[in-house]
Amino acid sequence: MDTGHPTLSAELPGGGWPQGSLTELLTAGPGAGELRLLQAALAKLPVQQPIVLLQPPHIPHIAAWRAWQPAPERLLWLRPTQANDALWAADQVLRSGCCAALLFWARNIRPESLRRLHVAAQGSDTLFFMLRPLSAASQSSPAPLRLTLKSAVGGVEVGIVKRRGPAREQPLHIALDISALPPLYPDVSDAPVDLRTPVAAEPRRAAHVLAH
Amino acid sequence: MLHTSWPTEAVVVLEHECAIALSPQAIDLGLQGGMRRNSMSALAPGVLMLERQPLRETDTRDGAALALLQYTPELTHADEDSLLLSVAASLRLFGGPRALCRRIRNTVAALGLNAQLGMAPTATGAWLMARRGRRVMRREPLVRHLANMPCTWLPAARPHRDWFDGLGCRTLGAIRALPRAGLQRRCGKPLIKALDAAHGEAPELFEWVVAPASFSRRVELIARIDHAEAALFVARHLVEQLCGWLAAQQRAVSQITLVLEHERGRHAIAPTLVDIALAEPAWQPEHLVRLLRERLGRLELGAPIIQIGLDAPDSVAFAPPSESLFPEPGGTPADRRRLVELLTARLGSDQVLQVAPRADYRPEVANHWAPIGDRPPSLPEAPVADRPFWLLDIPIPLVVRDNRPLYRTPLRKVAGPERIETGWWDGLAVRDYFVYEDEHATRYWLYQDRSPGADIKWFLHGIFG
Repeated sequence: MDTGHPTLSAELPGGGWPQGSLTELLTAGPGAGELRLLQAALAKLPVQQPIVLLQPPHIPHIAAWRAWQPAPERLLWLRPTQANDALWAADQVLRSGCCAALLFWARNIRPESLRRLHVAAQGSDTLFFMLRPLSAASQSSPAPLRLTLKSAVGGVEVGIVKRRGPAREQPLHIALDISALPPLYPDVSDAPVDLRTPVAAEPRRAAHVLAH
Repeated sequence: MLHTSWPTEAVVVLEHECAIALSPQAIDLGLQGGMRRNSMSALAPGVLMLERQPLRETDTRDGAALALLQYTPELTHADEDSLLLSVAASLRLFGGPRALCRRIRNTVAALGLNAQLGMAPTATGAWLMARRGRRVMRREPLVRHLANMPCTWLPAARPHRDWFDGLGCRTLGAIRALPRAGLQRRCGKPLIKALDAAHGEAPELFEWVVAPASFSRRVELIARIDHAEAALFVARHLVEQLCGWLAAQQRAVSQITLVLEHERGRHAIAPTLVDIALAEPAWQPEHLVRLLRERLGRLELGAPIIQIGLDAPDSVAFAPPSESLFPEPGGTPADRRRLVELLTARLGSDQVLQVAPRADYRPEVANHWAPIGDRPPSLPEAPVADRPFWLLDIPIPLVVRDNRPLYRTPLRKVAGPERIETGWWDGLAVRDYFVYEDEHATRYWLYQDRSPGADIKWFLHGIFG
């Protein structure tokens, strides 16, 4: 599955996000550019299948998806009240194999649960991302691909913690277009406030052309 | 032929104070059929003695018949707790005799019964073959099998047992070799008829079981159940019967209700109802049992259960599935609906949400999520603008330092303002929205509250993902 970012695709084994496998994205918190990074890939998923958001940290904003490619109608927001319910839901979504992608925000998760989810993911083509805190980078994990994400000026800094292939020390800088959209209203903060009113044209006298 | 699956402890069934059936454990204790209650309690004090309940036996037989209706509409009760199924037309559908036998065995086992199966080209022949537990598909081997069967197996021959013994006839084959006219004079027509029917030389007529018009069954429990999850075992039996009934009626259910009747203490307790509404009519036992398991797992009982019932008030004509030429890679829409149903059953309908945006300029009002329903979400027209991915449930008030709002680090303006002024009918909101960026280049969606008569304050409302 192509990531939509050539520099990142070149570094990933298989040239893109792996399908049917657990991928970990480690961020310091929401807002590291994780969704803008995934957006290009999510947009290419089959249209009729839902995209599941499991236990997101805040309320997903519909208006943001409206501006993006995956249509908001496809979203399914699950907010289980208990941790084991969340794991169960993730397992069911992966096993059913009828969802295009699963994004699972988990704060504390045990390695054996991760292994189970990874096994469940292998049975389907679902694009499966787990979004975990940055502190989890030091813990072991069965995920074949683990990336850290940090927001950077004009994009996102991707560090590769683990991948199939040679290790890479330097983080990658992926440029993300901050705002692909024109602003809704022009920026008027620098415009002079007291615009001079345009000079009204002098009413011209009607020429006495209508001579008798 | 149906037998009960015995529980693990020693059990004896009594009729007129005499043992008529014993579990293997009871036999190990030295008990025998025909023993009296007193002598048995002297031999094995701990043994559980139950009175025979003919009504419940009939009920169990009817339940089994209902469950087996999913394999053939031609089914009838026969002697000695057996059921006759005419499966000639079902063999191909269910993948041959062996696969069909396996499915029937599983269905019967799910009801807590044991089945001994026999298969033959004639009904009486199959009934006799069930004693051997063998399958024959053609007449010649059936005749060979019948020839060396003990003659007491045929009920019509039992009254004349002594006479046959005197003649030295021990097998059905030997009886058949006797002169026909003399046999008929001595033993009457029923024996000749039964023999001919078994060999396929006389027609057999049956009155097939007709499924009732609506499904509602109750099962009284032997022991009280304290945990809702334990009720699943009985509920599974009921679901099997329901699915048999549905198959017979060519229908599918859109709603089922599990009724858990409580023990009556000092006050009558209203039964607990577990309603399961299905987005798509279903007829598969596995799916219904899975939904019931999730619901029962979350249920807390106020009192022990003594009776379990299953009602299917709503059923619709079953639409046969339309097969597409190529299988869809991501599952069919029906698969997706089943997944959503399963998630809703465990997590609760308030926790499985889809978009239901409202036409409003206030982001917290417009960004509305609703429990997933039958209808696909509809999106009202709205301007497309650069919006944060995350919206905070409650906006966080921010401190201002050097005329700049502060959130962990000082923030720098990127874009804005964008004035939103609406909602005079329920809490006026006058806000100027800005996009700000912190030192780590994380971008936030801030607003300045400009409600009239109040101080200007900064709030954090969203985070750009």
